[in-house]
Amino acid sequence: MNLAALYLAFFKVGLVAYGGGYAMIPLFQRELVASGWLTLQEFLDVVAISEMTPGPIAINTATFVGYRLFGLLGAAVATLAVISPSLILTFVLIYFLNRYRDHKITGKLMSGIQVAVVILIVSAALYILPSAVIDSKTALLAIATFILMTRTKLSPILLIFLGGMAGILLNF
Amino acid sequence: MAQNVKTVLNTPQEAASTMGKIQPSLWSVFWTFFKIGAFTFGGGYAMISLIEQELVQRQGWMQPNDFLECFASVQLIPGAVAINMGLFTGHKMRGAAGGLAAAAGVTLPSFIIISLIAAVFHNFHEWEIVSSFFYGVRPVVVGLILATALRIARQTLDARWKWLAAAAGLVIMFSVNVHPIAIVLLAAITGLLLA
Repeated sequence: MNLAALYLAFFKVGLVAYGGGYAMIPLFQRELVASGWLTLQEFLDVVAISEMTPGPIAINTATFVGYRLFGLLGAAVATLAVISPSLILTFVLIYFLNRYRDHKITGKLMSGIQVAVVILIVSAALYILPSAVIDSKTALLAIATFILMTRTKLSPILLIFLGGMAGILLNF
Repeated sequence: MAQNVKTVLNTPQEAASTMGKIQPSLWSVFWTFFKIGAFTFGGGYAMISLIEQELVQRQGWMQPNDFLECFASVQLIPGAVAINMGLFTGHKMRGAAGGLAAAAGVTLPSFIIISLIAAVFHNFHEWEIVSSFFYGVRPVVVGLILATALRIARQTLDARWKWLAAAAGLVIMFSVNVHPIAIVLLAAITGLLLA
């Protein structure tokens, strides 16, 4: 186990990090627990922590494991590793999109992608739904947020914090 | 407006789509994404509405169409939505340097917070006040994401087949255990056939 191995392991994690946070969890589990970087309990803890901190779960997992193994340097190496696939593939895609921008086929593909976008976003919400909306109070919070976000220009950050405060007050 | 950022990846068409809008400094790009990265809980899709609000509506750095195009492109590559959105939108505004500034901005807060947690606060997810906080945050995130989905649907699904395809795709996603990339491929093919 050295920094190079750490980089490679998280580069692989970055490559399979597709589908939105929750879809990635089983894939991460395979990469990290099965190959021995984390025990199952540690992995579950990291996932729990990730859900409670801002930032993508892929980044959080990388930073956490990297830190535990090699301190701040490990955290940096693992984090860079996990975003490397994004960096490379983004610039490759941008190049191709620019080259084929005006092709009719690109337009048609993009129309299809638009549909996929809506599907993926809705499914992300529906995936969290069972653990997020667990009683009438949380249902109310979800509905209130939906209404406020569609009718007003309130900042999502404000709503998140208000929700958190409401959670604390409700459990006081 | 000084268009003095040219990279090998900028085409005339691309420059035209951002021309006429205010160009942010690299520092503003970094700092905006730093704030977004520091305060958004709930994953990339919760962040989308925030990114759109900041870049398109509040700062006028991008046009809505460009934003949506970035978001569509992001679905094609792996990696966290937040990072990828930073890369694409940052690039749209300020080329390769902009992309990197945005990605760095959005990554740094988690990096700092998680390092702190790994070093010191390992049990913070077991603190009761934290659980209570997230009991309230989670449903808000659901509402946020659904509101964003509706907004994006209204902006992009301009034909009936698109709404039907979206509905069909959702049914598929929840009845069969399909990998998200399969949905993207299926949708892309549908686009080829029906658009």
